[in-house]
Amino acid sequence: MRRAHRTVHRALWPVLAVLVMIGLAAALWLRPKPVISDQESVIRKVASEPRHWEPVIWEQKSVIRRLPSDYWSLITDHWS
Amino acid sequence: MSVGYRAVQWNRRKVIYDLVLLAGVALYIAGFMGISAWRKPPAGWPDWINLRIDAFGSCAFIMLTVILSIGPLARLDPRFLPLLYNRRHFGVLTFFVAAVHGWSVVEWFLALDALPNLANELTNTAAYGKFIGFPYKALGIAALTVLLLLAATSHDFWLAFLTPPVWKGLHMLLYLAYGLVVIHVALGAMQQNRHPLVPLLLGGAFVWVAGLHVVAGWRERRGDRASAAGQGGWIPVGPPSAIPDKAARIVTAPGGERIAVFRDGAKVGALTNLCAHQNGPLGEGRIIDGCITCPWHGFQYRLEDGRAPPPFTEVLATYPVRLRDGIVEVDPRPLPPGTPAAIDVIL
Repeated sequence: MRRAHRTVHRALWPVLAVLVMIGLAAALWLRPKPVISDQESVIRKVASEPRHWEPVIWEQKSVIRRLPSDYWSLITDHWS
Repeated sequence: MSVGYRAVQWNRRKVIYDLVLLAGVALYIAGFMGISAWRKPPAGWPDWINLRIDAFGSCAFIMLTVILSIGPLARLDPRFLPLLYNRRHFGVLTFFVAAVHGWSVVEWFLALDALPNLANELTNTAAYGKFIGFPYKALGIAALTVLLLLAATSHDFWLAFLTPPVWKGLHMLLYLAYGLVVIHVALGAMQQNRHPLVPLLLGGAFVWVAGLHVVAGWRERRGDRASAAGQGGWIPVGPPSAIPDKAARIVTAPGGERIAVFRDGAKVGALTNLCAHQNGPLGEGRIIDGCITCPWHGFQYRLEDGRAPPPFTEVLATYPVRLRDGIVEVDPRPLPPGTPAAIDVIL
């Protein structure tokens, strides 16, 4: 390579490297999150969480069992 | 070296180089498509085209990365020089692989009967003002156009027609094409494929190539500093024994090009460091069969007068040399190409 080519080469590569790396980082940073993947990740997260609602239901059942029988008629009157 | 016109000057090394290249590309494409189809079987013809787009696109990117690594690697370590020998065939093959990638994109739109969508995407001027959402295919087309230009002018005919300095300058457009390809992938495939390997491989490849070029360029900077001139502007090279036999020491003319001072036994001569073929670094070559041999493509010149041995016609500028107080000195003012200037020295 001639001296002129080497000079251009030395000047060009650092500039190109900085510009492309900024572009690459921005493209990565600004990448929109796909909707479908998000839904999937939420479903997976919920599915993997411990089922805290079970004891709650059991507590409700125990409360319901303790209620007096006339209470049942009170809350079920509107059905009839 | 060639006396007359020959489309490609085939030899055994070039054939092996090209066969290895073709086998590598075929294996990669087949492997990529086979494994991808096995992991997620394509539902129809457009899915198959999609696979082809990814396979050829990634293959072209890898090839471009390798091509751009060869030059600085060969500057940093001469063991990589054999890769440089037939790099132009590598480049032409890269263009064809990239062209299949580009054509596959068009074919995908054709298969879905949606070619106007592609046209709309490329002509949507408002999108060119965005960053995310930029018509990244336009960047790919620009890079492919550069690759086409370089592949079309890769032949020695164009090298001779354009002259080595212009040809080399033109082929430095490949650096720009690589930058365009990286952003093309970053705004295209990387936006759709969220696998962490995509940005890692893309960024890693670019950092590797850019790093190699910056380091090689930095090292070359030292060689461009003018050598200290002595009496009358002559540059001292050292005692004859300091010049390795059948090799050269390189000195730099003030504000000018490098000069290769070769020794062949008791004979010392100075020539321009620029090979007449591609301006390769002649001073890093060796004297083989009595001729200075360029390390890039094996072009040869006589030490006595810088002329290629008959029937070849290439000719280089020589420089006056003298022995003064046991020190070889070279005059940085070049003589007309082909002027005999070598001297005999006592070791």
